[in-house]
Amino acid sequence: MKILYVTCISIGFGLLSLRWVLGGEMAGFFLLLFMVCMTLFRWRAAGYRWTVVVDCVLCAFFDPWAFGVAVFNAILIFFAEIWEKEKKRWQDQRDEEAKRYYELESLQSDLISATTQIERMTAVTERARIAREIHDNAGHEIVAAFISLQAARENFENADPTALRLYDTALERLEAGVEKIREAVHNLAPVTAIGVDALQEICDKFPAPSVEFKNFGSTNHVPVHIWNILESCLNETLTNAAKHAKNQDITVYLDTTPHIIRLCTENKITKKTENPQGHGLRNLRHRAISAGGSLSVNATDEKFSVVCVIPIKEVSIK
Amino acid sequence: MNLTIFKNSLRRGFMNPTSLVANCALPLIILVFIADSDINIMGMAQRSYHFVAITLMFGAFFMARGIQRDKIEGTVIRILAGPVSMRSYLISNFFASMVPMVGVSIALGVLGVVIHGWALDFAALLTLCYALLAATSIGLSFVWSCLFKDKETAGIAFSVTMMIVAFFSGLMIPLDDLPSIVFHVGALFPAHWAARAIDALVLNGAENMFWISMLAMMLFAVAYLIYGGKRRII
Repeated sequence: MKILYVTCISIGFGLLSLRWVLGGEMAGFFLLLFMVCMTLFRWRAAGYRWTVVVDCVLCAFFDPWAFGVAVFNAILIFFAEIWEKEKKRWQDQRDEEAKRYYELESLQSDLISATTQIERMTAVTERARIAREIHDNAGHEIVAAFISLQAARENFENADPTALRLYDTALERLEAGVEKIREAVHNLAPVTAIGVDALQEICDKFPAPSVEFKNFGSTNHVPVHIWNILESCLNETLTNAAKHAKNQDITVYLDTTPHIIRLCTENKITKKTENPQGHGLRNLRHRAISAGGSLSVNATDEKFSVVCVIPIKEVSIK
Repeated sequence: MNLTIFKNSLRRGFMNPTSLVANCALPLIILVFIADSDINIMGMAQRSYHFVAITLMFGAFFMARGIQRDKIEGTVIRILAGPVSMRSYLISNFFASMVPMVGVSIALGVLGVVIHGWALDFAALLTLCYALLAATSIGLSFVWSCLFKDKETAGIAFSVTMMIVAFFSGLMIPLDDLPSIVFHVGALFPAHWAARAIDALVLNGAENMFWISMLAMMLFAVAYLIYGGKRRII
């Protein structure tokens, strides 16, 4: 359409130039130059296409030929306008589709990385649980038995030397076993913080003037995948707060009840943004929804808060 | 208009020796040897004014060449990354190129009155004509920056085109001696109208033809600036 339009306009101007050269009238040249200026102007400022009427009126006064070209130009512009509107509509639709596609792609990538992270966190949590079980139950029992056997050794002074040697060997092996259990517990215990400690660590390490973390309720029954969502949510909201509310205090609340867990990040507003929900928050909302929860963004004149609520399922409680 | 860009463009224009020679030295040298318009033997006075017009055309082109360098070196992208609009950048550059050209045109008029005893109205109208030609040439330079990506190619193409234009437009060969078709082709360039304006002014004073030619130059300037002022200049 564009090529056709340019070709038609060029032919129109060519005819007008021919008439000017053959006719030798200076008015023809000026009309031509004026129309070129107006065409360039309309090309630059798409909103002023109606100015073709000015061309038509001026040409109608001076030259019927030029008037013909101007009218032809106007008809072309009319069709070009319709064409462009339609084209723009299709382009907008395509852009919308592309935007949705890229958002989904980004969400998919986020979910894949979250799955990996959850796997890792599950392993770490399980190791921590095993270490705790060994340390709190089996480890204590064995150590208690070892101490009792050591105490009993005092009463076996007159016993058979062979039996005594066997007893001592058993004690030594038990001692070595206790040492190995201690080492195993030490090695199994996770180095990285998990759960509420991880959230506390994120807040402590965040490079902002003041990030206050307040925790309410017991978090023992919260499953690993929820911690993963909450960590991502906290990271995103803290980054947003640092970006949009520089040097402002940030407060993070974590409320845990037997049925839900609620993470709320609040900060004061320095300047109000038109669209407070960026790409990151949208992805987080998808993740919260996928876990049966919700993520809401509240922006008042003074405060900006992001609240993420996730239900804790019955299975998890058990 | 952005004053920082304006000042830098102005400074850069004056730091370019070619621009300095074409802008200031050449027109003023020609002016010293300019023929007297009262004794216009064999159209010598017209030729002298035409030569000044040619130097001004080249001078204006060299002055406005900075935007092409900005474009090639990527400076314009860095400038536009700041709070500067494209329009502001182009207007600043236009005025930075225009100010010395208007200065030279005024200097020509004043020196003409002092050295050659031109009438005041003649000097004023000639100054106006030169200033308008300079504006048109700057507009053409902007167009050139849009059309060419390479500075050297743009410079060579401009020189060749301008020489052809100067021949066809009547700045070097009298308009009356040109064949009809060449005359009409020449009319498609502002230099032709500058030559016609100068001829009309020298021969008949400020009559219709002079103002018509000025109007034509103005329309050319508008057309060039509209085309050259687009964002594709980046």
